[in-house]
Amino acid sequence: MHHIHIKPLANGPYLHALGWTGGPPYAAMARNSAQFSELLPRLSFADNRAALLVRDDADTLKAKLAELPLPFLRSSGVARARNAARSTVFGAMLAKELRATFADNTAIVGDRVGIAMVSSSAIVPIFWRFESVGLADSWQRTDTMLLPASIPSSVVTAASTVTGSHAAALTLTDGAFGMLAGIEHAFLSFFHDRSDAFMVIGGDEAFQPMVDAAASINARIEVLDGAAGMVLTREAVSPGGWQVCFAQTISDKQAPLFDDAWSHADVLRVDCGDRLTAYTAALVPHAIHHALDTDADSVVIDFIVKDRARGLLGLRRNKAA
Amino acid sequence: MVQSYAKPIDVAVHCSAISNLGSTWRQNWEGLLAARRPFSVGYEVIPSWPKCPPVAAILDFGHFEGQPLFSRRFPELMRCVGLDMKPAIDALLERHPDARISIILASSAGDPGALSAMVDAAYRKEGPSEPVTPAIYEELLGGPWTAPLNAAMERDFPSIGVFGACASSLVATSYACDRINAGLADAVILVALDTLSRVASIGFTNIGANAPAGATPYDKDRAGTTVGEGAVGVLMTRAGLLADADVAARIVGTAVYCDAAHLVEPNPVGVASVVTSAIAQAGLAPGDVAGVYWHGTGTRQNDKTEAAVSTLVFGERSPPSTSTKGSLGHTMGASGGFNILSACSTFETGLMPPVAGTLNPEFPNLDLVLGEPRRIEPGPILITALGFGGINAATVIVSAR
Repeated sequence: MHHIHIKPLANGPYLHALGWTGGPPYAAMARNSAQFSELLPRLSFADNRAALLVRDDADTLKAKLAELPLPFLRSSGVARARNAARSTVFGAMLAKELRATFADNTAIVGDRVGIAMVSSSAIVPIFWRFESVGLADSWQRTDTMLLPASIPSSVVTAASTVTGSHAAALTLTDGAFGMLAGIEHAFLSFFHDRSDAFMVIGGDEAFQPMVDAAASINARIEVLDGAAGMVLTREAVSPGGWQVCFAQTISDKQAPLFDDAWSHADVLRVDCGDRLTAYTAALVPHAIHHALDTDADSVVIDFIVKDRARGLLGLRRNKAA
Repeated sequence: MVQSYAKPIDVAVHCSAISNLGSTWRQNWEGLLAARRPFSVGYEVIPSWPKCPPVAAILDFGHFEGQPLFSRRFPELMRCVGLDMKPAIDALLERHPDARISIILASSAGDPGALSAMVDAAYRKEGPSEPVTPAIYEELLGGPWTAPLNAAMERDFPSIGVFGACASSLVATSYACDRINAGLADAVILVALDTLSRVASIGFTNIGANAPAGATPYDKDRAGTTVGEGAVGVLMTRAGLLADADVAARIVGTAVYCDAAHLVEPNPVGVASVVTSAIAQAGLAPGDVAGVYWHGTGTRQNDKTEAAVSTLVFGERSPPSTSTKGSLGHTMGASGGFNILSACSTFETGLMPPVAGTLNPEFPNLDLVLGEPRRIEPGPILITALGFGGINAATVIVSAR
């Protein structure tokens, strides 16, 4: 097996806040690093596997697959929310909560806040609605209002709009690995002085054809209906907390080599399944939350998708603050 | 103030380009200079394609005979790009065996074929449906879209997909250049790829933004864009990795911005902001720009916005300007990639291609190249891209010579 040196980032991003949403009851919550213990997780991590803490019965899942309640849609602030994917609504709802965790920091203005979102289900329901009408009725009867929501970037631009964040807006693929790329993107944005804060959010919806597709090929996928994310900042905006030291995806044929400073780190291995990355984005903030509940000064989270890749995330306690 | 790149990011001569104009960059460039407009009737290229205005469809995939199944169009195009890029990657790794190379896929919609095959299986009343295979389910569930690319290059490079609407190529270019400048990669293979999708073709048609006779950017009588498809492979590296003769151009400034002002309409102030930011990162002033490859879709709103942006940035008269979409159609997320390659060829030849199809320009402040190619003064070239949701991006590129 080929070894690869995991090189720490020069002054990596500070982890300011974590949060998630989902439903029912569709509430979004976010807390800064001093309040992480107040966050109630939706996932547990045992035997290297993530599992939903509350598993849906058939009726609950059916309810999830139904349209979101109108008050929730309205409160999300998403324009034409009925024509948006649920992951868009979840992402925007969470982005508002995450933005609120540093709203009192007037030094960080909207032009200096970026957002990256990761979603594997982003456009699937919209695409499905549009094309099913085209085939079943006629292409002239398709809903043109669905067009803006038919591309994956629509999930992130909605979050940009509702939070007034302008520094960057991009959607990334590849689930947990996309989240690590989002964290890396935040680092690069800070490194080049393009922004001061960055939200990285994973959001997906439990869309029935995707659930059916997973069942058809016996895919090991934990379908999480909702969003989970984090706020990263260029400078530490509150005392304590954690700093990202690396966020790197490597081939599953490579073995990572860490600097000696990481030899005493806590290690959390998360088995994300085989080859496929759908619905793994929201695992990352939950795994961070789980791993940081420790007395150790450094943690490594190792996201493994068998026959695909490994994502390595390293965080160190911020003693300087 | 955005940090400038410590050294410009090199763009390799060797590249891949597949579009309605051909399956090599030479064919594409000659088609642009000749202002060719090879647009097709959709259902004559792809069986059962819904009726809509002409599309800019790929007729020659280069490494694939005929037309692939629609569900295989995206992966086959990916494979063809991989085969095109393999010699350059092999040569690079022969010179620098330890070079850290990664892939960034830039796309507006991703792979629509797999999903359409599933919808067809569930809803199609007449005509043939493609078989829904396990591979299609895997595509839907996050199977690696770049797998055919890696397989064709006989590599296993890490990859990530970036979606920034129709600005995807330039958003990904900024990401790639930032990665290289920060020392996280020695080289990035930027693959900008979008295939035709029924949602885009019909959606643009139903909102009146799909030109019945093909896109005529900036024309008074323009009637919309031409939905297209295409793929570009661009190798970007840190300075010194490529031999001088293998460097086509150098990227000196990139910028992204989301004005978030409207679901679909661009905002002149937001676009002007991203343009000035890219120019500033390059250490230049607007007056230094020798030419502009605008996004130039041919829709009423896009072109009007860009004319306003030009006034905000350049004043009364723009530098020599063009749009490639009169020939290529709107290749969506790939369009910025074609413009990067076009800028490289402008440096090589001194020529800027005309805006194909445009006869009666509306905006007097834009110094458009019309009718035939124009020789322009040497100097930095600006490339812009605008996407739904207000995602804007710009790149400033200079000659390597």
